[in-house]
Amino acid sequence: MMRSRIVILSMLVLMLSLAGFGCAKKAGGPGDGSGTSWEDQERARLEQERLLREKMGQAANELAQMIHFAFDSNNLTAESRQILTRKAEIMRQYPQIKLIVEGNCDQRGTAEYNLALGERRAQAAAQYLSNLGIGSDRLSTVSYGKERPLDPGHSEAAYAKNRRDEFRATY
Amino acid sequence: MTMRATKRIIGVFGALALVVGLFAGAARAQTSLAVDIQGPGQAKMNLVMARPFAGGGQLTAADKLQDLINKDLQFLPFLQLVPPSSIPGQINGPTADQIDFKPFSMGKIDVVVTAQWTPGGNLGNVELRAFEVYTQKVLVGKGYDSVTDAQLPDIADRFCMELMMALTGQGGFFNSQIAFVKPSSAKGTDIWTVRPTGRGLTRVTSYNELGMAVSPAWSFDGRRICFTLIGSRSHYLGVWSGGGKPQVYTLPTTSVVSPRFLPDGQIAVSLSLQGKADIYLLNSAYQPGRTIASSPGIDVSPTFDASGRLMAYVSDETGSPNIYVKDVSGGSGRRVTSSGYNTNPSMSPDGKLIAFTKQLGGAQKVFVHDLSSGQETQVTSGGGSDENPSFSPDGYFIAFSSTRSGQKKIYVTTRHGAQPVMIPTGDGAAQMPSWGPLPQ
Repeated sequence: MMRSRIVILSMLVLMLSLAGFGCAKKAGGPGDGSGTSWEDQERARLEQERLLREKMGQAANELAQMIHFAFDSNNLTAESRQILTRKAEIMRQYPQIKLIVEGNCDQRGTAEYNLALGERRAQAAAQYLSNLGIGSDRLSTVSYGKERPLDPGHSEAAYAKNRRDEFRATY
Repeated sequence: MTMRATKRIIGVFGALALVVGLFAGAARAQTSLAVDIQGPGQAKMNLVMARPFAGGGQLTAADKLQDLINKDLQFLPFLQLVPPSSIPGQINGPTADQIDFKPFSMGKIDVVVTAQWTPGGNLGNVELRAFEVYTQKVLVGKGYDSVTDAQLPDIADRFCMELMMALTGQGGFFNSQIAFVKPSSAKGTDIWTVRPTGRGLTRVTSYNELGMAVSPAWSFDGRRICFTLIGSRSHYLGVWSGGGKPQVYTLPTTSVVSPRFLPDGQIAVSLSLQGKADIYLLNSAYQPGRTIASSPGIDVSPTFDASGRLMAYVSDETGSPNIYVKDVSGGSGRRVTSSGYNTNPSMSPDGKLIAFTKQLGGAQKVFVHDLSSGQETQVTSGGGSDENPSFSPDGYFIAFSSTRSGQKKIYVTTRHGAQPVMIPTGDGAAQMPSWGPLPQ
């Protein structure tokens, strides 16, 4: 327990120092020089995000507001664009934070194609934020495809709830 | 349909070494029985398994082995198990001279199986025989001394493998393994492996709540598994090499979808390097090399034949996702599915068939496309959604995941659409099967 805390703390120090030099080097694999496992790096990333969100308070919640999509579509609705515009304002207020856009799909398609489709949805929101002047170095995307449904049901309402982008403030 | 094929199998079987003991059964002569499992039809043979011959001390073990063999044979759709009570034939002992074959022949029984237990070390000694009714010759004979309880599943599997070899020329089903995905927490999934009989259930990754390991795929030699690891801010490529923790590789994109091995050990994977998902070959440092499938849309889910020259994949360049085939070396893709939502291709090792899923209503069903004739055959039906078909290494069976009984579980059918049989994978859901050989 103690040892993993030390690893997490040392990872935090390492990452903060990298961030200080404006370096966005991605950690996560062998050859990244850190000598720590993927699991330890992931724990450190999650812990650092948690601390950041704690510090941001209400703004982090507002940044997390989801947007939804029509079936088999990555087009942004008027409501989605409004939500994204508000996110851009918050990101201007907090120039130190970055945003991860998570793309998600409903349960009808198949896993791998949906993983690629979710990426398209995440990119649609990231592109919109970028068009609003948020630097692309502050935006990243990850797709969960249909692997993380909010509602596991098979109704139209459940499908609509699951076709979404989620947003996470990060460092 | 009972089948007495004229084609004769020349003794290609019997090269398998025994782990325990050895029974020199009557030399396995040529047989007139043969099922062409690669052929167009689905012939069936009728098989009777006699009550085991056992002394009082071995009855429990004998019944247990009988039950294990029974379960194994249920995976082989070309065999119809007929209860011995429905045939008036007399089986007075385990050997040919003790069996009155005539009533079995009249009753269209093709194969009779006997088991004889005798006192010995541990649970005792056992001899298993399968006779061809028509010639009254031994198809398979196996003997094991000082059998232990733990050895019974292995004995059942080896006997059934040899029987399948004798009847079809292939026994790979019992010599193969399936990698698949199980949830390990509310937010995480991990990769497991199991033999298709449900034996050898093994957990391969332990990301738990930290990540989702999905899309496992075996290397052609059965020694490695590649997979997508979905983390909190990126996908990664995972490669497990038969023991210990998998290696995790970071690629220059956060979207790493559907990694697959080629027969030579290279990995192909769909990456979003240009803002859209294209399929790349990775170099020896697991970094993107040559593009092998690219379109203005999404290109994912590559699958290769055993020569490594032919690939099938999914592209939505015309709007909805469809299956395409192409030469790995170059050229453009040829679309093989005509309309609708067609994904999850798995190419048979001989490169002749593609199993895939088609969306029908709100659910997916498994189809097989014959590349030479262009014919499409639906091989799964019924309730629930059937996804991720994966050909067995012998190209006869197809594993897939299905919600037909509620929770997602893994089932086995054949290229002909045999009644699906569930593969035991322990508690909880199981999905995304990938079928590979045992390490060679």
